[in-house]
Amino acid sequence: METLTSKHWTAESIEDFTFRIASDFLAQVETKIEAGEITRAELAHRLSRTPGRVSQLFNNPGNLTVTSAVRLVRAAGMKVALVAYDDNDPQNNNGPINSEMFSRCWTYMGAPKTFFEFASATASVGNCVNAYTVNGTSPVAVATVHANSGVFSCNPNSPATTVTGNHDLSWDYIGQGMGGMICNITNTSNPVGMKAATTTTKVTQESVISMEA
Amino acid sequence: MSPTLTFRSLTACRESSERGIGFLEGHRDLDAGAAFDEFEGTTNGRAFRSHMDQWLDGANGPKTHFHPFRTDLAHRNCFVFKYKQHRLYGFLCHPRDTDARFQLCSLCIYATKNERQSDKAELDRIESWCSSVEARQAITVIYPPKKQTLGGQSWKR
Repeated sequence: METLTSKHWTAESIEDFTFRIASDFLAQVETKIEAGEITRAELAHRLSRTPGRVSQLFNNPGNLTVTSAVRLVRAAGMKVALVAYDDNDPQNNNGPINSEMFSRCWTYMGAPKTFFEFASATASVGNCVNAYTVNGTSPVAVATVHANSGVFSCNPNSPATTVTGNHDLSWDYIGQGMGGMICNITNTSNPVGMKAATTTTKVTQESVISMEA
Repeated sequence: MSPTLTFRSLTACRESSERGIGFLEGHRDLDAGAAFDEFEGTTNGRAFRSHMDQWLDGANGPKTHFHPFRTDLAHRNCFVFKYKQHRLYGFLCHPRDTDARFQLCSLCIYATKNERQSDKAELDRIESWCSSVEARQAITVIYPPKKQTLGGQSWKR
């Protein structure tokens, strides 16, 4: 995102800001309708409204309330969160962040439902070194995992990922994390003094995974 | 004599290195900018600005807010922003020769529509503006090419 040379149109008025974020929210529901997951008629039926009234709701973001937003998403089989955030733009010179961005980031992180799940999902992200512990305390091997350069494959059997080092490692793709794949790394060589073990970590282009004896 | 067209960039919406929006003006048919200015400060203006922000943010829908006409080969450069019966029609192009990814929506025509299908005549007019040398020259004033190609070559679509 670039910085605006003039203030964003939502900067001066609460009504403008409200309209914009309500429009983003309604766009999320409309996208679900366009994806064929629910029809407008079914949505109207579940809301006990006529299709015309539902269209009015979509056409008037400025009239959206928290209660009407909750009714709408519940009828669409979804949920809604009111998210406060700090994007280092206290004067709102750049406008709000699209609500779909938060939804996608949450899904991207594995859709954690609790802070515990969030902590678990982020524990290995950004810190691959020493993420793999077999037993004991002395490092005996360092394995370098080269993932696909730039674009990461979703194929767990992708031959583009190679493992070099003193021990054989296998990996299974779990999901996409921030900046790399979340993988189960398994020591399959089972050398003397080491146990076959699995750890979950993030694999970036050149993750260094220290293994301990 | 050919009209002198100008291109006016949309202000006070999200600025993006990937997408931009502006209005082609300087001919009586090119009324999208004037219609947009009339909408400013009203619900219609807020709705159009919201939809434009969403597109500038990189969204590709919903179609109730904006959409291209990719499946219509004769009008594949056309693009429309929508709110209720109001339509702002324009065309997409890639005016930066050093950044082919950058996509510009040049809005041309305002129309009101009650039928489900877009008026083919309006889309035909958009395509003719899209291919006009005058429009290209107006846009290159705001997005000057590195190499001197004013009016000489078509931009990448």
